[in-house]
Amino acid sequence: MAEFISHPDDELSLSELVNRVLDRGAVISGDVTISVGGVDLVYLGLRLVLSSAETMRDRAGDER
Amino acid sequence: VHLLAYCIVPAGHPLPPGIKGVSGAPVTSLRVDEDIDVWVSPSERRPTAGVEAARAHHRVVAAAMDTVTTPVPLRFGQFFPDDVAAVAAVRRESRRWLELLRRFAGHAEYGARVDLPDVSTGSQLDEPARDVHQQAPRSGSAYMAALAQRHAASAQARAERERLARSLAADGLVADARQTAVQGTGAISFAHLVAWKHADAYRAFMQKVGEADQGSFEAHFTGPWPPYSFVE
Repeated sequence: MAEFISHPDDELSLSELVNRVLDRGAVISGDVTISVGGVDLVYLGLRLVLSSAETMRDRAGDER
Repeated sequence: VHLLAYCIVPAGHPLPPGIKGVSGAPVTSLRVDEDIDVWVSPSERRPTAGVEAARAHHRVVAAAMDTVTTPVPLRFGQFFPDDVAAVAAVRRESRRWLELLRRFAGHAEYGARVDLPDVSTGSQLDEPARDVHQQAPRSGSAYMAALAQRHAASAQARAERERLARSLAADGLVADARQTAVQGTGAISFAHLVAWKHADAYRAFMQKVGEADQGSFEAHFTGPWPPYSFVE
């Protein structure tokens, strides 16, 4: 069935909205950090790469 | 005060009065340079992702959109220590933002998610998932036959995707298009950048495509959206 959703808050288009807002859109600074379930997640560059901030900090520590 | 950023707009683009962002924080416009502003709201901590926060972010970006001006939508979660840092970060790429604003002006994004029941349901569209109950081929010739069958299915899936992409972008109604496989499903996600002046014709055309192909795939169309998929 083909149907246009005219209102982006419509339930059917909610996953499209979340996908766009969290995974697309321009990135001003190099990284974007958000918290999900109390864990900081880091987006790198323009493609979505998720890693916990804790892991990133550990890796940064190892490289020093 | 820390800031959360939403979108980049042409300098002086009017902010709707009383507009609220994530956590109900008031949105304000910061002047970056003579050409562009950035819309921000105060935030005490890094934002927490969730449906409500995503909706709030989107509401602000969508509020910047009209038939003449289209903002550059920012990804959720851009957090700055203060307004000086936010303005400096935006200004570093001001030429890029200005180019995008010019390209997006008078356009909106539309989405089409197409589920293809007859092709792959695996994460790789070119690698149709094998039925787990199906027995593994017991001989060399059976193996070769199974391999040939998989190649044929892959070719069929590719041909179907290409045909869809062609039909969905037809008639010169689409200024730009993106196509991605939806991971873990057999679905394809299309994003189309469409001029407002073509919006009615585009919607009518897509409705027709969806109805004509009813049965061979299931399509859901969404929009208009700010051009989240076209910022690269």
